[in-house]
Amino acid sequence: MSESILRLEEVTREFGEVVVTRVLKGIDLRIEPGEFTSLVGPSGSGKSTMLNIMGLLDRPTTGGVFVDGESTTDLDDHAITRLRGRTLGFVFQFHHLLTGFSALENVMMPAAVDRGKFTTAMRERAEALLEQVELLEHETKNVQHLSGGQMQRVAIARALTNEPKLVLADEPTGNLDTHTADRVMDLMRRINEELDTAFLIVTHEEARAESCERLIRLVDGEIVEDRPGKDA
Amino acid sequence: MKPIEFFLALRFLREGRSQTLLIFSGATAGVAVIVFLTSLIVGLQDSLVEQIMGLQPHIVVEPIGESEPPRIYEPEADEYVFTRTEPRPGRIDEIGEWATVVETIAATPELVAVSPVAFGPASAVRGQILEPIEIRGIDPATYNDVIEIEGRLVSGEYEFEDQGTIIGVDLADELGVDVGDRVRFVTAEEESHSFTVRGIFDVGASGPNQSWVYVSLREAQSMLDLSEGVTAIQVTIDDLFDADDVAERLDLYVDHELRSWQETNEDLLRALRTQSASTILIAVFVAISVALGIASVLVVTVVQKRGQVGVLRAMGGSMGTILRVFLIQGATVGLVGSIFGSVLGTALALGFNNFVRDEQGEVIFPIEPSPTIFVMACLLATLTGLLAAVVPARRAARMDPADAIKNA
Ligand SMILES: Nc1ncnc2c1ncn2[C@@H]1O[C@H](COP(=O)(O)OP(=O)(O)OP(=O)(O)O)[C@@H](O)[C@H]1O
Ligand SMILES: [Mg+2]
Repeated sequence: MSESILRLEEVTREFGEVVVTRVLKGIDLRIEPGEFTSLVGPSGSGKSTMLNIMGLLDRPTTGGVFVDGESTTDLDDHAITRLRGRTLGFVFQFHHLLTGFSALENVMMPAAVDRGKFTTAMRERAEALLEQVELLEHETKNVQHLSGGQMQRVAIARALTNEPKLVLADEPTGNLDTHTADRVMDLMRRINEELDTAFLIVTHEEARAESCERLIRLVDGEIVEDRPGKDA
Repeated sequence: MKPIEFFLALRFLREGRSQTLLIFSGATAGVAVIVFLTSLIVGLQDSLVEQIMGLQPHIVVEPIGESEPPRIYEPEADEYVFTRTEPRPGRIDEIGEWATVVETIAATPELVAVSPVAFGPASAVRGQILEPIEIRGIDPATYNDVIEIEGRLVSGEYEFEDQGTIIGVDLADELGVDVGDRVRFVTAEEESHSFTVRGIFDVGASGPNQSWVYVSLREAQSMLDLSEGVTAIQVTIDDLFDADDVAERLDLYVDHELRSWQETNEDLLRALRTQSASTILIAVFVAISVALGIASVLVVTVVQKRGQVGVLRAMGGSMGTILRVFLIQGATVGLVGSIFGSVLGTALALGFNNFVRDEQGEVIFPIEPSPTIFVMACLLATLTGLLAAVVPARRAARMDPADAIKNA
């Protein structure tokens, strides 16, 4: 069996020092290449906490996080940052694009911070990605002048810049109207099919979750359901 | 430092608009004040020293025993007293073997000119008018390199043959004489000597213009009853600020009292140093307030941009990258502010130069824009901006990316 892209082993996460709350209570999970997965659960169940740990933005209290079979426990901050930049992409509820920068510059940014500068190759790749999210005609526009859906599509293009194996998306459609949200979901699904990039998408909407090939349900810090979605 | 860090820093600044404008203006105003003030003080001090040194040798050799009289009045810290020592009546102290001393001093590598002089009190008489004067017997060939007289003649020639004399404009006015007229000088011993005015000088100071009377060394020696000796040897060297050191060194070889101009003008120099020190103090306080301004605006920027900073970190931007992005912003504000500030400060100084004049419409003292001040101001401001950015930059770099994104 080939290595999982990402593996959580007995992961717990606790917050607080005096009053300790255990938010994640021993999570075991594997994400395989090319999977299109949704993560659902009530508010406060620990979805974002889990996503941050998977995204190497946070460290578990106990347990291990493995990327391509390698443990990340002993990596220092610098190594974690590099690994994150090269294997993972992020989309957030709020786009967090760099305002005052063009769509193209925003999409190039993950590659540029990794290499320290802009290159022509980066530009070509960023343009290809913008084409994929159907925003090539807006490439030189300051992102502030784009609509909410357009901004989120730029954010998706940006998440794909370093050819990540997995994109972690925390409520990427949470801030969009239904129609726009549908388009963004379709876009991610299409990229998943065309580029074979794995997606893990947190959503509150059951219908959207059901449409994914795999569905994980988190309740009170524990995985209570992990099954193929209806369409899969 | 990577190109992308500069790119991000400059864009963040451009993006900041009114905030950026605010801190740029602050830095510009601060640097302008410093440049203006420094140019003013440097110009003032330079012209003061120049004025004084135009009438003084750098080093004087005097006979031993010619000590300064005790001070009757001790000046307060913010005062200075100009004293003039009247030679005591009777015999004038002299340096007999002055030729040997001149020879010794002539070996000094820094030397520009060495000139023996014989100075003493007398009066100028014409008709009913009697003016106290100082007879200044000089060696015309060497003296002009110690104190410029030839170039400051308003009429006549630098010429002493056949009982010739050169006097100041004010004395000439008071006596009502011109070039070619005869004047009579009466010594302390009541001996009368007749001279022909060969030239009239204006050194721009009323004291000398009124009382300095130049004659040849030989005439002065006989008038002042010196036996072949001189009353002093005057020395000029190539860098006037080395006078102290050169005088100290020469003291080992010369058996007379040596005094540098710094020693003679100690009070003035102390006043100038105090003035410079207070200028530096003002500059430091201005720099501190500019730094605080830059720092507080950058702190606000960090808070505003925390989401973007968090995402930059999530995308693989290191803490070092974030740190440098904000440090570069601070340094840029300092650098650009200092360029505009230098220009503004210089414009102010030149404007001051143009509008503030004395009763005759003459520039009081010329202010020359100095490249050194620019370079210093740029370095200081860039460093100030950099230091001001340290706290905000560390704050940005240390933000937890997950927190920053969640709380943006
Ligand atoms: N940094 C933190 N410090 C303390 N408690 C935290 C922290 N982050 C999360 N929590 C707590 O952990 C629990 C789970 O939070 P989390 O954000 O993971 O929930 P979620 O499933 O993403 O909820 P939502 O659907 O509302 O986004 C919450 O009770 C929250 O208060
Ligand atoms: Mg959440």
